[in-house]
Amino acid sequence: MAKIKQPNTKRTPATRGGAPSQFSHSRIVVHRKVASESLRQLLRAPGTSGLVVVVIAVAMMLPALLLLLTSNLQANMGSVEKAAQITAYFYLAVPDDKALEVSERLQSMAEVADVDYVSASDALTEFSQASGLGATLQSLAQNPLPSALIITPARSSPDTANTIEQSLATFEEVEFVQLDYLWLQRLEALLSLVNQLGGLLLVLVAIGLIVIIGNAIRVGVESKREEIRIIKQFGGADSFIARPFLYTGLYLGAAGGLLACILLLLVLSSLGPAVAEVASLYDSDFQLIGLSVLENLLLITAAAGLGWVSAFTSVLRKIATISA
Amino acid sequence: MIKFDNVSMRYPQGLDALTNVSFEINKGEMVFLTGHSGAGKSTLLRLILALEQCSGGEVIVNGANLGRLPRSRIPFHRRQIGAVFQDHQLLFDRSVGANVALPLEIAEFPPTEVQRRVRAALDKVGLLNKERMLPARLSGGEQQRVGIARAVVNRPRIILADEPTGNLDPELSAEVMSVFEQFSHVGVSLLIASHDKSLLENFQHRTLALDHGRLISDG
Ligand SMILES: Nc1ncnc2c1ncn2[C@@H]1O[C@H](COP(=O)(O)OP(=O)(O)O)[C@@H](O)[C@H]1O
Ligand SMILES: [Mg+2]
Repeated sequence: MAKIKQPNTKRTPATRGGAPSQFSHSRIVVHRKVASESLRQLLRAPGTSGLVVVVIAVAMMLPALLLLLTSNLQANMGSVEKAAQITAYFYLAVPDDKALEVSERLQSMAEVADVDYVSASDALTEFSQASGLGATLQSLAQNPLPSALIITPARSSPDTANTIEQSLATFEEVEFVQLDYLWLQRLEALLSLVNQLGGLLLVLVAIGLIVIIGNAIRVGVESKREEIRIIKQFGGADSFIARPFLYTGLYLGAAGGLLACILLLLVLSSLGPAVAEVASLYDSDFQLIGLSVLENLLLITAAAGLGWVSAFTSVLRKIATISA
Repeated sequence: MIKFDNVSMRYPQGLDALTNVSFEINKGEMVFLTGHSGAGKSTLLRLILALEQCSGGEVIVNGANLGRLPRSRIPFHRRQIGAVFQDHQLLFDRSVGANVALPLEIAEFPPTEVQRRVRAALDKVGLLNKERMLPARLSGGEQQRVGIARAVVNRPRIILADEPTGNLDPELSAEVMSVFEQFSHVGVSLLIASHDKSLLENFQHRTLALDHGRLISDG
């Protein structure tokens, strides 16, 4: 057997209280070792952890999908611009030059993007072509159609439409204003409600996941009770014992987030054609846009953070209950 | 280094494991602790490790009164002590090397230093060739020596050993004792619980004798 070296006259990490700064660079190495060791442990038992990952992914995917759809619709409200158009009909007696004057006044408003003047005769021509009643209409003594302004608001919001409607009411030449913003208003209200529901669901899911991940990790702690007891006998602090479990939480969360991103991508790409078809019925070029690379990374990071928090909130308390 | 002042210990179930025990162990001293089974040897060692709290008197280790030690300081206290447990207390899910490395990893030694010290400690107990094996595949005597390597790997100031030669034949016992003696020569204090008569006779050291929880002789 070998000779014993001179003992520790210099102070080692074992003989002093806190973590020594000269070892701080090696703490990174130590951390990396713990991190890779807990990853290896997870991969060794892919069954149970795989199940947790799937639960995390599905639970995160549902609110994410809801939020994604509503924000897509909200962002694409512009493409249903036509629906937001306002039509102002003049009295029959209003001559073209008067109507054009109103048109110019409107054009100068900030809320108005474009004004299209449709004179009474233009309207008649268009109508007779579209209806196929050309000859009959030609025989009328007087044009029954009014001239009109088709106004495209600068923004397709109910507020803008309201402002334009109010200023149209100040022109006595205008007999009647027709606007389509009411259903737009309802749609917007509905979307923001669904959006809020999605947010609420996200919070509930986060709480549920903290419970689920925390529980999975507590089970892991319980299965290592004997090991933890021995580590405590040798002076392992609770934080030291908790470390690999925190990494486990982080990995479970990150893997769940990654799987959620993949599932979202699959769902969106399978919904794509159907959505495009519906959109074409409304004369819209609406398209479902998935998460950007950054948003995907954000989701995975958030899930990883959630996993870490779950582990942190459950594990330290659990470890403290195990006595050496 | 270690001071017991009128220490009594009663387990929650109501048994008096130790009654009015007083003694002192100095730096570099090697002391045997003997007595019949159930005399209180393991209890005394557990008090020093702060694994139990005494119900009367004071236990002072490295100048710290363990009764007044805050909970958060207990891990640091235990890291100063190398402990050999009667039932080995090995971690069966990891290799012999990883078991011996435990105290160093707890103290966050850099990995290269951990490896160097683990090999040195395993060499001391003659198990260098078993570094990568799982403890379950070792004999009782080998497992005990793994426990001894783990106790000395951190070069602690105090070594406590509970029946460290219980599973060893006389030859290996002698080798383990000589390892302990080398530590005492460099200033480490040792307290070795044993009821092995031949061990006590072959190695002449100060001996504390317990009988039903009372210290009946010291010399
Ligand atoms: N955890 C415990 N709870 C209750 N009684 C205990 C416990 N551990 C030991 N004892 C009792 O304390 C006494 C001393 O035990 P111990 O210190 O293990 O003796 P030794 O190590 O000398 O054999 C014995 O009577 C034993 O039954
Ligand atoms: Mg005992």
